[in-house]
Amino acid sequence: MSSEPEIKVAHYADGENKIVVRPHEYDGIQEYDQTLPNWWLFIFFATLVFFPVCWLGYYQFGFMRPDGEVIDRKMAEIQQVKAKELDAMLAKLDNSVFIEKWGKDQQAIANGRELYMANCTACHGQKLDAKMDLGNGQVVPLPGLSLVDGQWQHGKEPMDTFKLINLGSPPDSPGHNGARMEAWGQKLPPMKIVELVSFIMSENPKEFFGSQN
Amino acid sequence: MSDQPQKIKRPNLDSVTSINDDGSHHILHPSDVKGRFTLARRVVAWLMIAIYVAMPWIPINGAPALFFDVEMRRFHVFGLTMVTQDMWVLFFAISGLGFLLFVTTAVLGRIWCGWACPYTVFLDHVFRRIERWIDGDAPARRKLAGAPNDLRKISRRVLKHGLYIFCSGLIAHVFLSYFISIPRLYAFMQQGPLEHATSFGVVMFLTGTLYFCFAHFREQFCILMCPYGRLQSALTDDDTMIIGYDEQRGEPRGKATDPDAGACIDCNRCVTVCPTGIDIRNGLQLECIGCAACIDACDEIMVKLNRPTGLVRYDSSRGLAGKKRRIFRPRMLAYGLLALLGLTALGFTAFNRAKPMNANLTRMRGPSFYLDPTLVRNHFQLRLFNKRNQPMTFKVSLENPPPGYVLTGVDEDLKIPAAQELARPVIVIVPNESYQGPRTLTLEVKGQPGDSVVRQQVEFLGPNPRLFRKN
Repeated sequence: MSSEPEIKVAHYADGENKIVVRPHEYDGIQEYDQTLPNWWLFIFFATLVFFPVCWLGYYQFGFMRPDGEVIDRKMAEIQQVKAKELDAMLAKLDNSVFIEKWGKDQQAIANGRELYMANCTACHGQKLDAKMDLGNGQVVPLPGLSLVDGQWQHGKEPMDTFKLINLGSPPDSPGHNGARMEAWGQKLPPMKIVELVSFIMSENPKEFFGSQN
Repeated sequence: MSDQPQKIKRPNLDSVTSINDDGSHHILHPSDVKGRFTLARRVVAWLMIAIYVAMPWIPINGAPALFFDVEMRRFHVFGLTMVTQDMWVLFFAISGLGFLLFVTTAVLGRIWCGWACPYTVFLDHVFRRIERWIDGDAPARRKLAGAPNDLRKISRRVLKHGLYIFCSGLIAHVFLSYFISIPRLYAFMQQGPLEHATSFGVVMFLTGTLYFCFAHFREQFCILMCPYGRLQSALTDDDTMIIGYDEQRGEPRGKATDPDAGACIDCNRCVTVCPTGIDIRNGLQLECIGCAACIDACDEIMVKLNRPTGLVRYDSSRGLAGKKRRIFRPRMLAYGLLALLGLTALGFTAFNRAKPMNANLTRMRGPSFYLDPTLVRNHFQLRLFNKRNQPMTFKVSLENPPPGYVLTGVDEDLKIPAAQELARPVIVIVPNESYQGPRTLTLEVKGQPGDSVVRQQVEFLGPNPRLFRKN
């Protein structure tokens, strides 16, 4: 190792000889002291500007919002819209509306059937009896309650069923064999729950519509 | 600005020619060059541009050849459709292709930079051609740069930069069409810019960036910003093919008439044609993008002098020093194996796993299993994707289920329209007397038409059977 680092000279095109090497030396490696390109420096200064803008925006005046907050706010808005939708639907609904209108609306029943087959059969069975026929003479009970046995543990009126689907098993209910239904109102809009109730009613004609059906 | 034509700087190894002492950008005006490599590069470049422009237009299986549909989250790659759930394939694609580039670099040096990199392709074969056409050759351009801002200069500048912006806009629009497809792009263009503000913003930003890069920034990107360029010194060695100057033959430089001089007559042609402003005779430098302009320039002079060509040529450092070049080196094995690994995995997954449908069974939130007086059950969410451009029917079942294990919720066939998805709750139940403890089950999804089958392993969870029996 030489004690005196050799001073290097750059051979520039204009003929001026300038010292361009930093005085330090590590492992025999020396470093040029060239000017950074201006555009590079510009980026550096741009980051210096970026910092106070972000700091003021996010932490001082709040004209910029973190993504999480934006999403939370949007979610709250959506929940509000949903709640309004539900309130509007509930204002139009009562047991007699179900019996007079929705329970006989063929389109609603057809839509309800489709919804039921997609979402409910896993627990309540294809025939609404909460049983599954394995085809070999074996019949397995499913987790849900039967919807055609005339037993209505959570109330027999159509509005009770609507609330049950919307909110899921009541908080004080131990559930059927420990199985509790989720609040489908989180996944389905109120109209679809109406259609599901229509379908369930149509499968229990005697109970809901008396002998005339 | 002086009225003098700009000076030509003499390149050196201590500084970057295109950066002045004060940090400002020294604009290079490379001279014209003709020759076999220039011609071959132009052909390759136009082929590349043709491929780039054509991809969104060629339909394969009802989707463009390359269509990254970010809105629908479906990615069409040469007839193969992938969804976000297939994103892990990207790891193998990127690592495989990345290491393939490493192998190529180890053998052929910066062949990518000079011949195939979109930046070079657009810069050298579109933007520099426009400049050559409007502003003339290198001396004329240098003169124009130093000329006063009269009507002639300003009108030329407006025309040139107008064409630059136009071409940048074209490239940007083609780029956008990879993500929204040609018909949608056309539809977007019929409407106001604010109706699709994001897409419009992307195109504007891209046009601006491309214009800035190709009109002003040019070689600065390759020298200082490109990560691949900066990796070069780690990927290449003395056996890598580079563009080099045959020092043994060329030195000492001297007049053509001097019998004691080497083959190089120090005419500086190789320097004036260089788009990054280096002197190739200083040896391999990080600025060199391997464009081969200096080879053509030198060969042209050598032919005129009736001397053998190849004073500047494609060769390895070892070859240029007159030694034998090795092709197979340990790094070739290392890069090659890694590339092979990635590409094999990519090929395997592309042909075996990237099916026309996706099936996903995930455990529902809540308890991992339920105990009834008679049953043990697990709740799952089944998610099916039909990735095809036609409706499909799916049959979902457990493959060879152990006695007693039953899947419920999917008794009927599931019909899914083209390119749609479907989610539904399903439950696996087993009667207590058949329950033998937690075990792995296989879900089998059969899709029609196409007879494609997707299987997924799923853990059936439950209590310890010994403790369970006691109760």
